[in-house]
Amino acid sequence: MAICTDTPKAIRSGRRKHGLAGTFLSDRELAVTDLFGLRNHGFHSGLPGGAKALPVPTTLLVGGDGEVLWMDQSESYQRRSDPGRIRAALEANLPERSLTDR
Amino acid sequence: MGAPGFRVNAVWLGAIAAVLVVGAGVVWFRAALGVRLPEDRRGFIATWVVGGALGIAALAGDAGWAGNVLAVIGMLGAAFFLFTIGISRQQAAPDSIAVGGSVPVFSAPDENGTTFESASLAGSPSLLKFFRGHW
Repeated sequence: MAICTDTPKAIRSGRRKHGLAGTFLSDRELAVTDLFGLRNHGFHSGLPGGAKALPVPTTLLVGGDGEVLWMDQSESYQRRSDPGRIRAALEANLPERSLTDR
Repeated sequence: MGAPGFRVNAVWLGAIAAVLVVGAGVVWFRAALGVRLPEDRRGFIATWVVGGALGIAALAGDAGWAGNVLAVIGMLGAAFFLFTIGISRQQAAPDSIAVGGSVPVFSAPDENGTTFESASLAGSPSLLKFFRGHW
């Protein structure tokens, strides 16, 4: 599941353009982002007319009971979660099952 | 106007400035697209600082129109890349979600406008990714 400040229309466009699967949520007012405490309090580099702030890029592996098992976050928005790193976290934390994309 | 020898050198300075800045920029973008940007970016920063400085030196040395164009490319490119690094720092709230914590209850519209409820995640592990959006 991916959460961003894009409008639903922009999400549909981006999904088509990049051939993405999974669930995408629109968090335009950062209500969900703020519940997680992930609003970026540094320089806001959003586009004019876009969201008033942006989330800190963060990947969370959550157990079925809602506990955060693993987390990846960077001090720079120019660095994103490496797919290999995520895969290693999945294997380490969920060795007994495969994760179904939602 | 400057001696001819120095002018030729200034042209070379502008060319080197442009090559350094643009070259490092290409490597940077390719790494970013491949999710391979290094944690240690000092090499890139140093290259852009040197390229920008050479561009300034070329302009000061009256490199002629071609050399000046290259010098400006080096200077503006260096300024752009250094600016993007400067504003890239991210800072979440002190009490933000952490390992061991519990995911809060939340709801939000999906791409079709249908409201998604976090309660539907219960019972199975999930991967949640917060990202900055289309740009």
